[in-house]
Amino acid sequence: MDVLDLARLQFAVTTNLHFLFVALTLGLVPLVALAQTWFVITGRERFELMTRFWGQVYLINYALGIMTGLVLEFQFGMNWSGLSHFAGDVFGAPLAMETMTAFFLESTFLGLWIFGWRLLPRLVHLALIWLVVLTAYTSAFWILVANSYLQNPVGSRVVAGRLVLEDFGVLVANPHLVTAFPHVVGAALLSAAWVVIGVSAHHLRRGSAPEFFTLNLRWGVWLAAGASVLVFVSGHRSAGPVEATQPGKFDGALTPVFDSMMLIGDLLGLFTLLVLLPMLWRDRLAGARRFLGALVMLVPLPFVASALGWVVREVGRQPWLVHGHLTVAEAISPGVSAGAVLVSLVLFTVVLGALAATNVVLICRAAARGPERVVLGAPPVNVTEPAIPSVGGGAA
Amino acid sequence: MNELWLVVFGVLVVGCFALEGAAVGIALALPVLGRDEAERGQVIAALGPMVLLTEVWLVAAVGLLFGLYPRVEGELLSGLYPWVVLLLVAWVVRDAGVWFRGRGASARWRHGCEWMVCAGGVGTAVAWGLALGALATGDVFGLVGVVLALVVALLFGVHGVCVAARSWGGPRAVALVERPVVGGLSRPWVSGVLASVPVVVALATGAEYLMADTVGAGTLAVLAVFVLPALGVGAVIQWWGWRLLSRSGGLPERSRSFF
Repeated sequence: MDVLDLARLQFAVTTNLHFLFVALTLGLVPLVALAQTWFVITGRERFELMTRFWGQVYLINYALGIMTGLVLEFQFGMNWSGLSHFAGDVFGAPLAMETMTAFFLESTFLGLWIFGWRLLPRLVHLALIWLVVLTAYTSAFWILVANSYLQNPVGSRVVAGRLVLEDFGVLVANPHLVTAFPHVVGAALLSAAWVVIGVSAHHLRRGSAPEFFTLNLRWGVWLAAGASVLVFVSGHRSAGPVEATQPGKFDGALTPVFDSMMLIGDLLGLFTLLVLLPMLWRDRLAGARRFLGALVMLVPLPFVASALGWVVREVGRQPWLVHGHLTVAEAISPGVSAGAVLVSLVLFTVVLGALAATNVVLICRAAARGPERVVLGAPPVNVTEPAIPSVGGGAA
Repeated sequence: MNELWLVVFGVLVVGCFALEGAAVGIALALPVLGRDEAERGQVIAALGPMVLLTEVWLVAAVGLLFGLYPRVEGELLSGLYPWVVLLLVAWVVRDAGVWFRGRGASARWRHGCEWMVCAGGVGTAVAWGLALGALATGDVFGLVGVVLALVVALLFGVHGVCVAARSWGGPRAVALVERPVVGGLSRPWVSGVLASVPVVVALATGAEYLMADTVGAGTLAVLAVFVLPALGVGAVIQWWGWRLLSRSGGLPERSRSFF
């Protein structure tokens, strides 16, 4: 393998890890916010428990998004400085705006949300999680602006051998973005919905906290139904722009990948709409124990479909990095050796791979424990260790 | 115009050293700030929400580096390759330790995570020093880098102890700074300014180089519309968050509910 293959492999590994875990983060956070809203409105304890239970799963997962995202952000400059050299004036802007208008605010709001349980007024605390939702989706938007530009570089022109931004409005109205953003959002919501369905089914099958998980199952199925429709409609609408600018993208080696993604999406959608949704009537689904076991097995499918979708979109762009302008081979950083890329590839893969595996185990464990053992937002009474005695004043 | 953007970029970079420097410092000083498992647990519980507020400064600084000075971004990150890799790995290891410690039930698990927090903190500070040394001399590997690695680790460590003492009232940290001469100087803003000195020198030296690479006027206009308001809003919320965190003495008994 030469330096190009190694750098591409490194990007593929980190992006896919990032994409899969961030999909769950993106999909879960509106559910957490909705549950908390219901709690604030109705005052019913089960909605608070729901907020804390899924909030904890969401938080465990959030860390992996930061870790993989940080590595990704630096990788552009480390391995692909040709991209920043040639297209930095255009491609760098949405990335800069993602960090400033989205991530910078998102993490700050989230830190205060975790910290603010039982400390801040209820409505302020609720507003914080909705601000996390808003900034999380803003983040996804800017990233897809950047990605769509690589697929279909609009709103710019080449001046003195470099791309410069000509029309920002055209950049954010990119037909590849207009269809891909709802598609990715749908895929994220679908992944989260199936995690909710799977965890609820697991508990219902064992008869633990049946009332709580019947409620969660209902939310999960409705979310899956909505997300399936969104994925289906946006997916079919994206065929047009792709055919127009990247004809033959789905031909050849990518055909089975593309078909598998569609098959998973269509079958899951039909199954949700025709079987699961009707079975919510009189909570038939929650009582169908043997059937619930099968539902648990389906949880990985939306994630598989998401990874396949990524492969179609990104491998289908090859050999271009900026379609029609800059090839991947031209973008590799000059002066970076294959050895350096190999060492970092091994390090990132081992460290991030181990953390991803740990993350999955921790999420499964937190989800399997049930709602009574959630620590996020638990009243301070539950704490057994002694508190730090207050020494020296709190002013800073 | 270019000078103004350099100031905006400088604010983020200094924010990264002054705020995130404290979080890195607390991580690397963990064995000093927490002598037993319960104490270390309290330090990490207070560090958790703080890290969410501080590490965004690095992400934002690098994001704006890409948005404002894309060619410098490419040259810097590919030129400083080994230290960037060290920074990233150490960063990820520290984050993972902070995040995962509260998720395991066994003492071995918690101890392992504490090691990750400390080693990650040391690695991050050292990587910054080595990278600054490479920038100063032009040699990726050199003695200046090693010296700067020690300097940055020391500055971050002292800064971390000051923040832990003055903002949270952590007993071990307070005991460290409550000395005749040190006591008066152990204000977080003093240690924060000191922690930022290396990067301010680097910024001042590289100002011309950075500004020469500023992106075109069209891109700057777009950035101004989105980035400046976001920075303003973010700064206000961060200020509120920091006040909340420190006014409540780090509030470990509440934030331990996750970390």
